[in-house]
Amino acid sequence: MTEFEQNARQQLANYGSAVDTERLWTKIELDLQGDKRRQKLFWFWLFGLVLLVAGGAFWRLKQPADVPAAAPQALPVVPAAAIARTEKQDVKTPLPAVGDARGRAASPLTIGLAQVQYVAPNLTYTGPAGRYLCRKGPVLTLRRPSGPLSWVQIETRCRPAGPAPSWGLHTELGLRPRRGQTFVESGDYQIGRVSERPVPIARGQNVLAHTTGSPLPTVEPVAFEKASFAAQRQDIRTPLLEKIEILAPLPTLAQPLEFAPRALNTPAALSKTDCPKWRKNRGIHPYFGLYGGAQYPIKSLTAKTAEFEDLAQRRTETETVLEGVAVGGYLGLKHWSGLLAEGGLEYNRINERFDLKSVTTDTIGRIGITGIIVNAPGDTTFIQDSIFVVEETRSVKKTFNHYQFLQIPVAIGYEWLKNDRWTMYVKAGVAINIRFRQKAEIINPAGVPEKYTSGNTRPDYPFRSKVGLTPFINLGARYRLLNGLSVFGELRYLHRGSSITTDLYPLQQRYGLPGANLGVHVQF
Amino acid sequence: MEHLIIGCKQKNPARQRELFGLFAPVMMTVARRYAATNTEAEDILQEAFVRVFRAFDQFDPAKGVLEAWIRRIVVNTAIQHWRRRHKNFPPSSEEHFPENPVAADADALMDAEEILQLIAGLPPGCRMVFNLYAIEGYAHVEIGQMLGIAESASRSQLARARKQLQAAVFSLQKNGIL
Repeated sequence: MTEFEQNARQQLANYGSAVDTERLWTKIELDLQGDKRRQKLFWFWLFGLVLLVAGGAFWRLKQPADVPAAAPQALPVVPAAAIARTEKQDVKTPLPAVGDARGRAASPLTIGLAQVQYVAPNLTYTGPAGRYLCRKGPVLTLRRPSGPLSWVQIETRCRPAGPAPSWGLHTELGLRPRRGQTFVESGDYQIGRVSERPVPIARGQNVLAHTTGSPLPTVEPVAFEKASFAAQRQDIRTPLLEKIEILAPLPTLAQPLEFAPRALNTPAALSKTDCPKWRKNRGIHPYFGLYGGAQYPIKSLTAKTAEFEDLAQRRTETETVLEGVAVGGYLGLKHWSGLLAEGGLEYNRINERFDLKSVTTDTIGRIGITGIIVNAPGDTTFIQDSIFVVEETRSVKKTFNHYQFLQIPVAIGYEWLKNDRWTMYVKAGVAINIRFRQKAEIINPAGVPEKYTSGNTRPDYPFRSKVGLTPFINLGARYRLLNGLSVFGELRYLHRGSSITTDLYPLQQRYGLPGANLGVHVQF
Repeated sequence: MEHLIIGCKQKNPARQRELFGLFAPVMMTVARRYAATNTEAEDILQEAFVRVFRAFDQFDPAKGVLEAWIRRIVVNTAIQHWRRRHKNFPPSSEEHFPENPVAADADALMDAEEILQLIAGLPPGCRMVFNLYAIEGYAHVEIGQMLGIAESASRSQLARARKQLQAAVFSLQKNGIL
């Protein structure tokens, strides 16, 4: 080590450099407050998530217990000629079996996590109701061997019932079935997603109705006679109807369908052949709702040019976002497929606090002892003179600011995972701002605090009167309390990307508004 | 000091403010050694103290002195700051510098401010290595690990720093400043 280095080490060991601790501490404090804000935001979102999960869990626990299925009965194999008679069957008469696909499927080949299975052609389609009528051609099914946790299914399907039979390659990606879905792995067929959604049934079709509450595909056959349909298409909707399977119209049954439900024995308690709650589906439902909620605004202040970065810094240091609130209502239309469109009116408010810390220093002259002369024991002379004492006074000025927005949110969305009680939905759209009011005290470009209140027409007034379009996205869950009346909770993010300040003002002030709403929803 | 430590562990803003006021001047000197400008040093100091307060729960008075713990955080912050700014460390030169250059006679006359200014005038890589080796007392192997460079590169940078410092001191002497 050189002499210079030794000297440097000694000199710098405890040397204190001049540092503006006040200014630096303000910055550090802001950073540490940011930590607290992030923590609050995390808990805020977590709370919303827990509410959603708890709601879901509550609903699941409230579901009726599964009814044990009765032992399957052997189905009589009916010759093809007998099929034609099914057209005139009574509602309470089970449809005859028209074949069984078992034995026609190749043994599943397990490769790793996947299972490949070749299924013989000409199976009746048992997937989502009403979409296709039968399978034609090979079916390649990839499944996890552990069960129907997820699956990918690629198959060729046909629609022989239409005016022009159509063919298509269908791919399906599935997830773990939920309660309310009967998903059975029997080696030769599967029953896929089921729905309460009204299913259109064409005149003259035979219908198999799978009732709810059974873990096995117990099937309640219901045959609808032509005469019962007044119109070309009818809709069926009943809580007990878990799945509608539409068979091909009778004239096309010259070739026997190669599938029959495994068991046609439904426990008597679950038999609902008369389907008392059938009703006509209007297709499009109007709805309205009211909501209110809290937001956690994330503020951004940026300088348009480098010379105003100090102003942005000072405003950031002196302004603290407190919270946001939103209340509003909406009107909309929902198609039975789950698509929806709506518009509404919303009042949105952001509250902030303006803190200005100031330090005033006064120098006060006083008479004080400036020296002591000890002449001899007991003989001491005190020298008095004017001394100056510096007094520092710190003060904090607090003002509560608020920004108020009146806006028209317009959104489109989609609902899914519907069942008798719960609906999940996602909505996205824009909020059109029609009025923006503010009352704020902020540091002005000259560096001094100034109050700004809406209605001021000064040319240097910093805030706009309208702030344009604001995109948003909502994700929520709705619980049906009564017929048509629901309550909901939703998480929302509203991105106020355009600045709320005018073009002439040197800073851009923007907000991101994550929040959560609770509300009531009425559907007709 | 104990009440400061307890207060900071409880995240009491007044105690944190007090601790910052107590250590800021000395730590500013540490930060200035690693920074080219005062503004950069302030950035390092700010970032370091935010880390100090965030990680204060991890400080154990039984294991060491608070000042040394804070100093280590400031040095680590300065290294990270330097890494962010100088992702490509200048490759070590082929030339070989003597390990022990001749000491300047005027060294003893220099005060802390002058030394800081001389160190600030070094190229970034040289400054880092010089600080870590000559002031903090790390070995070249450790410096190599900290900065992600070869041990030989650390030696080379130190030699270069020494040479430049020597030239700077000589220049000051020549101009009659020292």
